[in-house]
Amino acid sequence: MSALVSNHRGLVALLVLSGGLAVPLGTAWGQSVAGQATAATVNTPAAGSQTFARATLPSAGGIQNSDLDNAGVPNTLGAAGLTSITTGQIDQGLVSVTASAEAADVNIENGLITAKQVLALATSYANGTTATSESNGSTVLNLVIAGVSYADGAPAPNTRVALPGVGYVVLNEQISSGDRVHSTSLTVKMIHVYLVNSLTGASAGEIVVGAATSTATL
Amino acid sequence: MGKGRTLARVPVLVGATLVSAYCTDAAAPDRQVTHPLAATAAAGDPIQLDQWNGTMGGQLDPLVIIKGFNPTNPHVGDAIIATFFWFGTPSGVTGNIIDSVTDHLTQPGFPRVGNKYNLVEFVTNGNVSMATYLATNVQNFPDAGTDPTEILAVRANLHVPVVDGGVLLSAWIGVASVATQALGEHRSASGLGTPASITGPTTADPGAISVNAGALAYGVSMASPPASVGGPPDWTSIAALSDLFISSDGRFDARFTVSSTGGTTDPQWLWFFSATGVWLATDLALNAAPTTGDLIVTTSTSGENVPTNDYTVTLDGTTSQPIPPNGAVTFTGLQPGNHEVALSGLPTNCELTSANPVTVTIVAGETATTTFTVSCSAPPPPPPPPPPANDFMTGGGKLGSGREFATFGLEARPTGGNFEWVQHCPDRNSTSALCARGKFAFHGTVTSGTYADASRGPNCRTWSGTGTSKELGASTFTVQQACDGGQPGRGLDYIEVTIDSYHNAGYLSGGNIQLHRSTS
Repeated sequence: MSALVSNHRGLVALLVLSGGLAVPLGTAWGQSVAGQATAATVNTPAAGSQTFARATLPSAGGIQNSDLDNAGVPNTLGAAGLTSITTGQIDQGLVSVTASAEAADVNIENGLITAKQVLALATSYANGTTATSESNGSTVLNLVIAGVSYADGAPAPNTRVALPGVGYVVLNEQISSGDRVHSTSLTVKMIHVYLVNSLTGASAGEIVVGAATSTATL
Repeated sequence: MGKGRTLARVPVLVGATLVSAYCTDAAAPDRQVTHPLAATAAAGDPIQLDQWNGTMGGQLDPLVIIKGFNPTNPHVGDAIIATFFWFGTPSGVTGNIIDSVTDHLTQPGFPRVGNKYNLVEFVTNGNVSMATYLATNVQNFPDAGTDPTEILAVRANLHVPVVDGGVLLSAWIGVASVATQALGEHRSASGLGTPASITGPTTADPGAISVNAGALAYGVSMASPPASVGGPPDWTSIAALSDLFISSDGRFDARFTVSSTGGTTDPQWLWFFSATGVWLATDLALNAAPTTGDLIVTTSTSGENVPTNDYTVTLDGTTSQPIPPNGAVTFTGLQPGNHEVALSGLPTNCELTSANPVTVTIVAGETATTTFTVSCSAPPPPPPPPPPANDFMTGGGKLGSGREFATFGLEARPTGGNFEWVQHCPDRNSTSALCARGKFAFHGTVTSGTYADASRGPNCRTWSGTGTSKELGASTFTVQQACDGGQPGRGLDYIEVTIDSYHNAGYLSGGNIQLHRSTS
């Protein structure tokens, strides 16, 4: 992507200099902004794929939000106060995007995992010379996994906790991409439960609470 | 004294009046007069004659002239007019020989009651003198009492003894309770009488007085020696008494009228003297007890840039008057009770520092006051220039840390936008101001035209709008400051938000606020 952007820019510069193409200088090719926030997702053979309170930023930027009072998948997920917000905009000198996804009173797998509040927050910036993403502000309150309590705040990124007989959970799962010069992207999933068939070891689905993705390219 | 001057027909009249029914009156000598039915004003008149009594003749104690209201006391709250008469120049003293007028109960020792009697008029003409006193809102005696030992008596205390004197007491319902408000215009005059057989009747005219609407006009004329009299027409007789005790020194005639419309009255008595004589006359006006009150509203404005235009003061939400920033207006004729007074019309650089509106209690006959205090400051700076047309702001993130925090998203432009705000309150027993209303998720719409530069810096914007939340209902909101301090937003970008009474402000703990000066 970044190579393509560079190629486009070279072409534009060449055409502008040769007078062969009139392109507004303020509209640089390769600018993009993307944001998505999903308060909760369940994907299991029994429940199918269900998404709760998802907001996706339009490609032109702006603001999107989604609210849901309650989410429930029997024996799998319960949550309240689900909210997702994403905002962002392409600017001449900066692309900025923020996505937040949150849920309260979370109950996963009949109490195997509970949390009072889950917030995933992803922010990305790109100004043409630097592209950065961050998850500042993400947090989990009153997290309890299999009877073990965790401190309030953001667990260390990609903290893996085994869930015997169920699979495992990754806390504050972070997936980054981009060249960090012109492009950057970050996905934060505060609670990501991987369901595993205990007999076969095969994937049996996933449960995600608090997923936010921000992508900026300039 | 002219004791020898009598009219042939007067003794008949006086003789009739001296058939006293009140010989046991402890407050006066036995030489009492009958107590005819009280003349009363017309029904509905604001002032009514309640009780009267009188005596003429020698007093048991030559240093007092006293009479009670037997058999029935006036009503508490009445006004009492006491007109005292005496003959000759006792001990060679001319002028008013009354040191004081006091009232008493007809108990042993005549205990003082304590009402205050003020001199209204004193008039004399040689051998006869007349002084009229007034007490208002009389108190401290049995209301309309008939117990002979609890009768109210009024006494003139003299500094020289008199041989012959008298008094006419009259008590009036409905007179204003404050003496200075009750007493209207009053006059007195005196003159010589000539034999009616030669010159016709002699006119006794105290002089015209003005009378307010609903007010009482009281008049009394004394002649010596006694003579037949014709009182002012259309006036109601209170009493006409003569004295036989000391050779019929004189006779008085007292009358009253109540004016429904107000105006001027000039009572005149026609005395039919049989020989030369003297006459005295006094008239006075007593105002009715007010049924309404007044209100004076005052404004006091201080500070800078005090306005020159009037404010508006509104009574009971219906009656308004302009009022200067430092001035007063009066509302008159207000019914007793509570009234609401409100001040409005203040410029934006002024604010009330006293309560508004206020409730004022109006008492009949009194003037209530209330003051509004206003403080003014220098006029606010002119609004900042509107941001460029393409200027707009986006952002989202988190404000606060720990367990109570807010998340938000915003997109604000000169033409409108959206504003999302979620306050998280995970602990139900939280006592923080932020969580005073509990958790809420607010969805707002930016009002077109409110997006403007904000005071915190060149990268700050403000806007306002309306919105709703399930928890709070419909609300208005204002983003006083949304500031793009750079990237990352945490610790650099600032936001201040008010949603109705909810207020939150601070640097972001996550996310970003981005000011866009132009679109791509």
